[in-house]
Amino acid sequence: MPKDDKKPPFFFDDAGLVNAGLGDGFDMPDAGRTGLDPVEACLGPGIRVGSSKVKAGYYLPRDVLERLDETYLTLRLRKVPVESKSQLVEIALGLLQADLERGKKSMVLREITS
Amino acid sequence: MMRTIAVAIAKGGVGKTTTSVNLGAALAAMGRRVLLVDCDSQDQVVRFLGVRSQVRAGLSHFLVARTAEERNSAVLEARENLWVLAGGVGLTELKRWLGKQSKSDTILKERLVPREGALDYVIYDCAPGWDILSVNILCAVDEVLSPVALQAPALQGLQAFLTYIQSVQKLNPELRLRYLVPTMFDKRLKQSRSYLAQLQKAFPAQVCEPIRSNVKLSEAAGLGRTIFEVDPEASGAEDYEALAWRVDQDA
Repeated sequence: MPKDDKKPPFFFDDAGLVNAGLGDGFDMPDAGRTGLDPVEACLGPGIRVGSSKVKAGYYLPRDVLERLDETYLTLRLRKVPVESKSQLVEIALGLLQADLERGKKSMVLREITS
Repeated sequence: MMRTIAVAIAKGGVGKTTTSVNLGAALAAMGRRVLLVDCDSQDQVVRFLGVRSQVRAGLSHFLVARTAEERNSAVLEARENLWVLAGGVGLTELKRWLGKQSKSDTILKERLVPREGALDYVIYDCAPGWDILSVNILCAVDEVLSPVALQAPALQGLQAFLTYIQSVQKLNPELRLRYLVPTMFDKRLKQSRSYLAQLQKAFPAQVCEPIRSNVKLSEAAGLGRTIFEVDPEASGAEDYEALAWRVDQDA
């Protein structure tokens, strides 16, 4: 049986390590927290049956998704209190609908019909 | 050269964890340095080995660690030459997170990279079923060892699992089904003998000597010990030792 006072093994160095503090691990789950709720683990924090928000899935080019990640991280770095990437998408959709209401002057309409 | 082996098949209850733990223990007893990676939210590997789980340890913690020190602390020592990255419910959350990443299929391959010469084997004990973590594991390994219970549902499960392997080979061309390990073999049963013969005919190169049904195997798991510690004379100990020799000879 192992002894409790042993030092951890030295199997891993920095190879493949997430960039400290930033990088693509920015919104990773806190794997070390205790009392993890099994339902929350599956559905995500705050996403439960009866929630006003639902997870939507659309096909988007990878570079668009990467730009969204980058925008989110950049805003966080600038201390802008953005909650999540979902919040950014929600705001963008609101702007899109407002633009469409401008009728012929709509930039979105022009983009789609050009 | 370090070998990476996934003990995997989508069918549950065929002896994946029993095989991972006892194969790992046998290789460790042969002097090989083995890391067992528990990829199941049931977190059974630590229980099978009687290792006390720790809060900031395990695969999910390892994958999100920010420093090498944190990563190494996520590894638990189970026996001499045998270490464990535990599973647990955190893996469920990890899978959800994996699903949101752009390169979600290769995150494990990119992050679980031991130092050169630190380990001889990394053995992934896969969960039943098929999900994004299964794909990550099969992208991170070169070899698959599939335990197959000598019963009709398990053989049907193997057929389905072979199609999964073929699909992952598009992402990981090195991936090979290297070993098929018949488990729960009872030579008194015609069905058992018949299924073993079918397997041997269909997969002559992959099929290993069968692991005989042996109550000592489940007793050992319940006691948090390996079959070699509970009864080294048991048929289960003999069979897993033979499997370890076969696997190691292929190095």
